[in-house]
Amino acid sequence: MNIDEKILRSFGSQTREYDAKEFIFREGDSPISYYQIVSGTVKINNYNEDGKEFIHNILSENQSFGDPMLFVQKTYPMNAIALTPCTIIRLPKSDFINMLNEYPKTSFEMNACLSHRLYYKLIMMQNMSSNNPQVRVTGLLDFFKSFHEDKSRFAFKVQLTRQQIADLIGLRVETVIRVLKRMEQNNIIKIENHKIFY
Amino acid sequence: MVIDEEILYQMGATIENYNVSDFIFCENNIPSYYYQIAVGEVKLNNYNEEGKEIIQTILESGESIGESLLFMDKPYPINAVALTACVIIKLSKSSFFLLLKKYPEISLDMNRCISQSLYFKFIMTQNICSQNPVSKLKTLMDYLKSFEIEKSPFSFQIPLTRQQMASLTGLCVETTIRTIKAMERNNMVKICNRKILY
Repeated sequence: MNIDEKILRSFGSQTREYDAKEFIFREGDSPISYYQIVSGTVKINNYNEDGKEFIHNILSENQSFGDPMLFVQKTYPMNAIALTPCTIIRLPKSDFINMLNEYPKTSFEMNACLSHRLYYKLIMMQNMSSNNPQVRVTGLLDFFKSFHEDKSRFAFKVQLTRQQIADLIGLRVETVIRVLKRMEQNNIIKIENHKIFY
Repeated sequence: MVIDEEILYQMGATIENYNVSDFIFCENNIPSYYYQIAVGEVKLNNYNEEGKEIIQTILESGESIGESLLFMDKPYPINAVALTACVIIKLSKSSFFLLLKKYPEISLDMNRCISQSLYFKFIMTQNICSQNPVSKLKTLMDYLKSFEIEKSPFSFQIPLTRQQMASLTGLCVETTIRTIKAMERNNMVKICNRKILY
């Protein structure tokens, strides 16, 4: 979601700086604000009972995060953590709801944004139910490439680290490295300077 | 109920009847209707590459089916299958968008509805990666029970079959049966007449 900053300000939003690794909200907190990134990168994650990280999403400039929780009467089931130094606009929940009422167009765009996030989850549920790690990795790469215009082979440069790929699909990083090497041997991906091309 | 049935009919909605196991739409179909269940139960599913069924969610009367795909330019990544005999209200995509323009408050209800699905996915995508069957099933049961007013132990009857619980968590049904028995021995659930009380 990318709401015009002028509109956000007119409803009383404030801007705050966060350091890398700083928590923006934590699992169990009550959702009280709408958040939109001006600059920087944020990850949405959880840790399971063994302390293993699961990344739901990585978001950057002009994207919002945590917004579904403003419509659900529950506490956050996840953390939001700054990956880099971040500048973030915050709008209190009640002002956010007033804004949606006054600008129905925003609510409409919100539906599109929430739908994209849900689409990702529907695809990933299917991929992650597989015990085959290559299916999980390919599923993730296919998803990201599907939004990329150039569909030709190796045209898509993967912007994620191997650790992030692992945490997005519930695998260990060692497994991901091994799978990627095998995919390179089978000419499914190209690796140049450690970067993955799919 | 997501949208008042009267309003749907005003906008030109029609009614369709489905038998158990009928498909309402299939994976890869182009989304062209808004669907709302008047009577019955519907599951959204897909199959992973091993042929294992993944149930994404189970919907009941009053709920809409796959509405988020109407906000995107992608084919359905899921099937919608009638679990019982169903009566379903159908409205063309173009009329649905007219309806949202005409009744902005319904767009806000849609925001809530899609957010609710996303909240469930936040919990379930992480859960599907967990290796521990007890914690998988407990997470699902906790989620279902979180909408009940009565929170005391064993007050909630799980409204799912063991097969459905398996397909929602990525377990096989044998593991699910064995795990539920173990949970009964550990006094986490009670089983009466095969029904699971949590």
